[in-house]
Amino acid sequence: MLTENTNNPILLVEDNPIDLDLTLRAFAAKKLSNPIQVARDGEEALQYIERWEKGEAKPVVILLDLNMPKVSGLEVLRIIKSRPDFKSIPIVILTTSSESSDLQSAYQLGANSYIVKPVDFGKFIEVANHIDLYWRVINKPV
Amino acid sequence: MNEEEVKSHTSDLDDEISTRKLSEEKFVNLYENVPDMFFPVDFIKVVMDNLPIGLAVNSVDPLVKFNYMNDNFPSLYRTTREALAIEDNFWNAVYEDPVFREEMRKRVLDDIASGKPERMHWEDIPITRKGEKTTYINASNIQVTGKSLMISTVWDITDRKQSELLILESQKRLKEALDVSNRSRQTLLSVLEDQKEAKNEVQKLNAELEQRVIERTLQLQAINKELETFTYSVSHDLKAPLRGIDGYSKLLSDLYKSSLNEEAQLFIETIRSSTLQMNQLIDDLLDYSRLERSQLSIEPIRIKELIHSVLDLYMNELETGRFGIDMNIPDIELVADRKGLTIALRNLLENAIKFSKGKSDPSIQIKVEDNEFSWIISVKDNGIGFDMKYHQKIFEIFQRLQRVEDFPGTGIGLAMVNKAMQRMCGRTWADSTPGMGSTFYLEIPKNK
Repeated sequence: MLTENTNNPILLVEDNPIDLDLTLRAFAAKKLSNPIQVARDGEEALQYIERWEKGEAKPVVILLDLNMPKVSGLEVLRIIKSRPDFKSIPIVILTTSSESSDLQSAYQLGANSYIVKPVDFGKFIEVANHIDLYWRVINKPV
Repeated sequence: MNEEEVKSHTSDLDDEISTRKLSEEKFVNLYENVPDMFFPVDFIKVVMDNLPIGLAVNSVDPLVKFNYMNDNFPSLYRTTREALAIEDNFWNAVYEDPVFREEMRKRVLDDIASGKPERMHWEDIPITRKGEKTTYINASNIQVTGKSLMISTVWDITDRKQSELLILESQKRLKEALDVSNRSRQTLLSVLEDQKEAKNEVQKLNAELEQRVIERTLQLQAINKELETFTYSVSHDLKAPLRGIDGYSKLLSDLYKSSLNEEAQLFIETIRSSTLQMNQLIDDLLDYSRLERSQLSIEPIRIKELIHSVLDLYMNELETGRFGIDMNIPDIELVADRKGLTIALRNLLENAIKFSKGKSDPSIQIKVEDNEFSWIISVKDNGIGFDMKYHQKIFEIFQRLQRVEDFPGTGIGLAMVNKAMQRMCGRTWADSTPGMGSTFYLEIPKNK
């Protein structure tokens, strides 16, 4: 079970190319073995639902940006968390917004964690490390 | 006419004359002698002079000549027997106003000339004398049959007239009073009407005002929403490139360290520290605008607990810096905006730490005073202090007295303190001596 999960992908939903690249690099610095899937906006993220329905491996964690064109992160969060078959996928909000309204909405819609992206790249790598630890803990067999 | 005829006619005329003469004599005799037959003349005179009316025998042909008058006659006409004795002097003696005199003369003579008894009666004739009260009389004439003589009577109606006048006066006053009352009523009605109008006007204005308030509120809400979106965008869109700058600078120095000389590495470090400074500035600005936008919530606060919780945030720094902490805080509740007060206390404590941690024996004193009209919280340090001539400046946004490399900061902290206190109708000020430390005060007003 654990092996199966650890090989599952991480879904990164991020529209900003710089943030995307830096996030990928931060994870690369942690030398993660999980493949990383990328959705460049909310709409693309929702297309993954169909793929999971067809039996494609579900991600071990979804890293979700909030402020995106077309379909917002909160909307993606709401849709995934309203699906009984997918709501167990941990979703970590990874955003620039530190507005309390965003934080509250995210938790109300069922976000598992909320992380404000630090500007300091060193800290960003730490965040990546935390996320790594986070899903290892939640996926630890009982 | 023949002589005979003339003679006879003359004789007739003579007869006629003699007959007339006789009857005249008879009348005179009657007049003079009859009273004698019954009463003495003196008695008649007394009776006549004591009648309550004026009585005279006179002829109007049309000159007025008096044959007789009792005492009351001239006195009721407010003249004298002597004045009336003069032929046709009646009008002059009685009526002093020439216009009225002519009017009366014409009227009376016309009435007499008409020969109609019903016209021989004159009422309400005013008799005026300069400087005296006007009296009123009624007068009546009776023609002595077959004679040019008339019996004139006159009686005083002043009392009646005065009563009438009084009644008229009363009626007039009553009417005036009624008019006044009517006018008052009208005034009252118009006042009521005015009030009604004013009330309507006020209602209208109120409605307009309410409408305007609603509109302005909506506008303000829209502006606020816009501002929120703006700050949100600022936080999101300004920070993304900053993250890029910092990320790639770090990647550059990490991955290509060997190809970069010391100066190049210093440049990269500078880029990164500037980036982080800018990041801090954006965060502080966001905090400031968030504070401005946040809902004020005045509530009871256990100040001791609040100060301890704020201190806890800085426990690491306080311990590593070996700060001496001295607190004099009564266990009381004060009423303030919790969020604002927390922000103010955090900023003051942060400053106290920042500006005194270089000292050999840094210490911070926190005191809460419970005064009659307000609570005063003071945070005192023994740090670098500042020149009091900059007192006003330090509470303004972006104002700094120290170089960034010496004391990092964005110049927003004390502006936040000031803003937070203003929002709860309180105030903040400071006291300092350069090199000796500063004391910052927060005053929160009581009973609002």
